[in-house]
Amino acid sequence: MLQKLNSISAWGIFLIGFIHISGLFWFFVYLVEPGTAGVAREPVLWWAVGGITLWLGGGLNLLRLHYGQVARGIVPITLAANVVMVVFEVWLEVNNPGFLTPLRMLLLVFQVLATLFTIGALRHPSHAPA
Amino acid sequence: MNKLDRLFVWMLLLLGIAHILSTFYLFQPLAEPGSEAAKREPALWYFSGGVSLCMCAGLNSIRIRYGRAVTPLAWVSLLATVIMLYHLFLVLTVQLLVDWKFLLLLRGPLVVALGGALWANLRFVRGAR
Repeated sequence: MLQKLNSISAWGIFLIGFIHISGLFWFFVYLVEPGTAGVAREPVLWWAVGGITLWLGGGLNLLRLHYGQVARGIVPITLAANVVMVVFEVWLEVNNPGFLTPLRMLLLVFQVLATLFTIGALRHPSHAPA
Repeated sequence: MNKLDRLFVWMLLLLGIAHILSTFYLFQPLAEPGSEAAKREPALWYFSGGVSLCMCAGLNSIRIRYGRAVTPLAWVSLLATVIMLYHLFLVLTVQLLVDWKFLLLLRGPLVVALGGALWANLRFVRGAR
């Protein structure tokens, strides 16, 4: 059961990355903001990189699940990534409480679960699924 | 060769941290007053760009350490580097002919780091086969 939850949280983070990226066609009218310069010209691309971050975070968790026992170095790196993702997600929701969608709540649940499972894998290496 | 590979990983990590820190300089205020939904979050998504660079550096360091023994790690690292490089290409395209100083100063080192990491990944994958 716990192993299944571990896998679901990693896949959940990864798949929500796709949904996040496809959201740019819904939330942005222009792919490049007209009449702007510097970073103000690129909001769509930075929105998209949020989805890429979720792919990389979910990918790290999947690597931890499959190779965490043979390549122990994956576990601390995944833990660092998960902690940063959780802090970022909380910051995102505090910054924009009016935009607290069910998907964002679900993502936070997956990220917290993935963090807990990674801490578990770090503390009890032999219990980590191979 | 290994030293050069590690150098690109460190460059990626440090540029990712610099990218994260630059959020607080480039976006004032962090959330545009009166804005809502996705329009209220550009600073945070810019911040996540730096996080993704750090994660890419993490995947590359995993490849260097374990890629010979566990080949799929090398392929995941290569894929992550290609995706980040493609994103950088899009950013460069958006800024091209508009703000070349901004482009060269901030994104020039990233081109070197990600381009170098791609080269190192390709060499690694060819060597592993």
